[in-house]
Amino acid sequence: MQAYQPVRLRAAGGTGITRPLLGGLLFLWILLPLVPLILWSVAAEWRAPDVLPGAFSTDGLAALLRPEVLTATGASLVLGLSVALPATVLGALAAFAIRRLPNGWARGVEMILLAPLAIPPFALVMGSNVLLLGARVPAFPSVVLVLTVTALPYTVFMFRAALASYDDQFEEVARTLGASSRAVLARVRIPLLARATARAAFLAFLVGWSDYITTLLVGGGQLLTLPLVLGSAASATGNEQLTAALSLAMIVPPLLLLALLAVPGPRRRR
Amino acid sequence: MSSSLTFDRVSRMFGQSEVLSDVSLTVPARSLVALLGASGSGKSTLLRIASGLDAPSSGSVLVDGQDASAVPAENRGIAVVFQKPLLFPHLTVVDNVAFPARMAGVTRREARSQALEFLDLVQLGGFARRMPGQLSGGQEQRVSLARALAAQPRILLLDEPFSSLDSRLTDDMYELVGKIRAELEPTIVLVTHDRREASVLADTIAVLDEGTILQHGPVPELHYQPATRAVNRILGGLNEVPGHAAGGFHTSVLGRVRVQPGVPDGPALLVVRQEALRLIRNDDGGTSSGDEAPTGVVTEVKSMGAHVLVRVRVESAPGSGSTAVESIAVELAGAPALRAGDRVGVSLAGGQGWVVRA
Amino acid sequence: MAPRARALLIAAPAVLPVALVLTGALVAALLQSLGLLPIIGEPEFSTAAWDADGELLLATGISVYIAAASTVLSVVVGFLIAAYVLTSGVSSRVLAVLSAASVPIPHLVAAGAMGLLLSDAGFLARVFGMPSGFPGLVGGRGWGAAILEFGWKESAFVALVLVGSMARSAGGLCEAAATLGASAKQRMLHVLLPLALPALGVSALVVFVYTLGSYEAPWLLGPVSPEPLPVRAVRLFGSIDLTARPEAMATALASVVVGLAAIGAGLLLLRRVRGWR
Repeated sequence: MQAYQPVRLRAAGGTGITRPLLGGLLFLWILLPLVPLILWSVAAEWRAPDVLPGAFSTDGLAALLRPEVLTATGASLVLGLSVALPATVLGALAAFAIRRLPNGWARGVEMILLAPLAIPPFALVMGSNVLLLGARVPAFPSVVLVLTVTALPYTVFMFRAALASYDDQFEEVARTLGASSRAVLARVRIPLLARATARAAFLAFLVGWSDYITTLLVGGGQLLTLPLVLGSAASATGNEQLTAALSLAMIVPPLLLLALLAVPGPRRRR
Repeated sequence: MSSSLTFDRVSRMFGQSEVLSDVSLTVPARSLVALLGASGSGKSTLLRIASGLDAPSSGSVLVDGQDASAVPAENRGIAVVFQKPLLFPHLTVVDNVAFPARMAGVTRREARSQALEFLDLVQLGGFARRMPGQLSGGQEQRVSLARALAAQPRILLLDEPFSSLDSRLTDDMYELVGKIRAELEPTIVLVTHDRREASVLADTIAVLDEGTILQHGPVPELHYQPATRAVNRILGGLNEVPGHAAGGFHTSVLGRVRVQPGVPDGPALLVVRQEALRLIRNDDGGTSSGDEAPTGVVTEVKSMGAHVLVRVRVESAPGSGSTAVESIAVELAGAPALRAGDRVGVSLAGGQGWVVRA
Repeated sequence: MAPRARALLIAAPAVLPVALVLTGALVAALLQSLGLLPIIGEPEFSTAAWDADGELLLATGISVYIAAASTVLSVVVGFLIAAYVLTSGVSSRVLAVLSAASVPIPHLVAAGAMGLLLSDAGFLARVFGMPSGFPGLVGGRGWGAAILEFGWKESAFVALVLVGSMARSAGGLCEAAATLGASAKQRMLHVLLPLALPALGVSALVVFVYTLGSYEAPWLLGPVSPEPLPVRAVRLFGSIDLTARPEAMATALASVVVGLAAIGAGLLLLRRVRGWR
């Protein structure tokens, strides 16, 4: 009858303090780790006992425009997109196929596709590295292959969830209203699954964009992405400024994408 | 244990729109008051304010004359049965009913034995060990009712609890409400959009429209003496005959009818229930009295099951100096042999009328 | 073509690479760990990599400790976030958005941020005026900073799952409970918690398996020695000494075995919890 609303129950006088206290602590929990990150990214000098930086500068952020960092950012973008495309398409196809399969087969296929979640990524990478080297597959396609396998469980899961709440009767009603099967695909199925597709592609992009271990082990140093630059900055001492700036460079693009996804579109239903 | 409930000039704003404005209403202890209104009339909001789930923007809620505004929902002693049963999916039926006692600190054993009594009251004693998912819709709502009663509330609020049940089940539920009233005498406020349900269950009905109470009174009063056109329509009245009031009489196509005292002279609407009108076949040989009944032509005969709704175009009596034409609805029992085009007389049972402002 | 064969054909482009990479990787790792697939030299069967001075057992113990502690922390905080989001006013929406927005932050970034926050001369130590008793969270034997990093990231994930699974039912049921006399605390313990339990169990399992195999946080925030499984495996894998390979593979496989065992045990437990569904 009504859209979901959080319950607003007025607390009794005695317990009135618990809720705001809990809320404050939770806000602090989420935001606190980001505070030094943001401060360091604009700090010029921040010596040990000072709670706040003594001087500010844009040097850290300017370092993001250095050629090697820009190249790494570009490599990360390409890697993210190269994983997102096959993982989304194959995930969608697999989810549709699972829906049409009889129960036993569907479970089997789904188990295989979700199995990478159970295997720690570094273990997957180390084992497959031997084979990929043996088959003389170059570094970049190797990384894309392994990451696509890592991303497929997420995309399959997203499409399975979307299809579970997707009512075939939408397509049936379209047919009875005179839509051809091509029109049903273009006007009903694709628009209804557009959000799920966007979410699945976003997750798969993130797998490529933020990967560290696969690029490190399979790429063998040939493939320099943003996480690798960040990793070497963060593991050395005295690099706080650069670490903070690189961290922001890694966070901001996905957050912008997420904001785009969250913008209420005309088709959004609650 | 039953208490009275009073709304004192309660208003509620949601952003810029006022959902309730200045609502005042008293529900006496042990009575059943129905809040009747369409969806969006503010009736559910009023119930949420009574239970403490929502707070009024201004005004107050009194329980037994004491301001309850500062008392949170869990301490008000006001239980609610919602439209959805809202049984806790992780608890068995008996543990759902035992929930209020458990919250009050009663031991599990004691709470369960009390709960079984309430389950017996709603005739579901045999379902105690089931999970909520294993019940039918009607059974779930009975458990929900038993659970609310198990809280031993001072006031019981029913928020359209029967609206998703089919009609045979609702009749069973009405019977159950009657039984509960006889055994426990709780104060009950029932929110409903169904005027039949309100009429069957309630002692008095309060008609709510666009956030204000239009009229509050006993069931017959609402039907035969509505305060306004809107009340008449909400209670299902179909006839509002325009005319003129003067000296305690109303003149219209239905003739000159005695109306309630104190009506100011001027234009006025005669409100007549379709159930209070009768039709006279013209070939019956006319009426006995000299007072000629108004006549008209049947335009439509619509079946309503055991009843028939007949629409008659009634013209002003010849010589009345008026040329007005009105369509009058008449509800008849049985299956009268009437067809469109038949000429009939219309008579008002009792000869007493009721007018509202035009 | 039969509909089943057609559906299988459509699924094949996804299933084949997954199946190939998975089995290939596991078989190759197993063979290498047993000395049967050396990079140079003759294959020679040996189980030496599997019992290298109890180091593997120690690494497994550390990994299980980190994963277990991180899971408990994530589940507790995640439930609190979800409970707050589902039962409070406007501020809860802001919290829900912030929490969801932290989910896509990479673990590498989070680990770097935790380093800046929690190290001996980090932000938190400075806020408290550099006390001498500040706990050695970064690089300490308790892996405190790594556990906090996992807890921070994964509690947001747990909260997202819980809010998603309860958004429809929680509001109505909490209101019903309130009108039946349940206080705010009782609503949390007797309504929200049991309602959340199935989703809480599944997400705990996901968090445990993930943190067990995650490399970045223990590598950046943990002590140099001793090492949990991922750090040990990656170090040995990158070692110039090619004889370290079998040990690297044995370490990797140990994490697979522990992960699968956890999944098996978790699913058995979850089946009991889900009995009422």
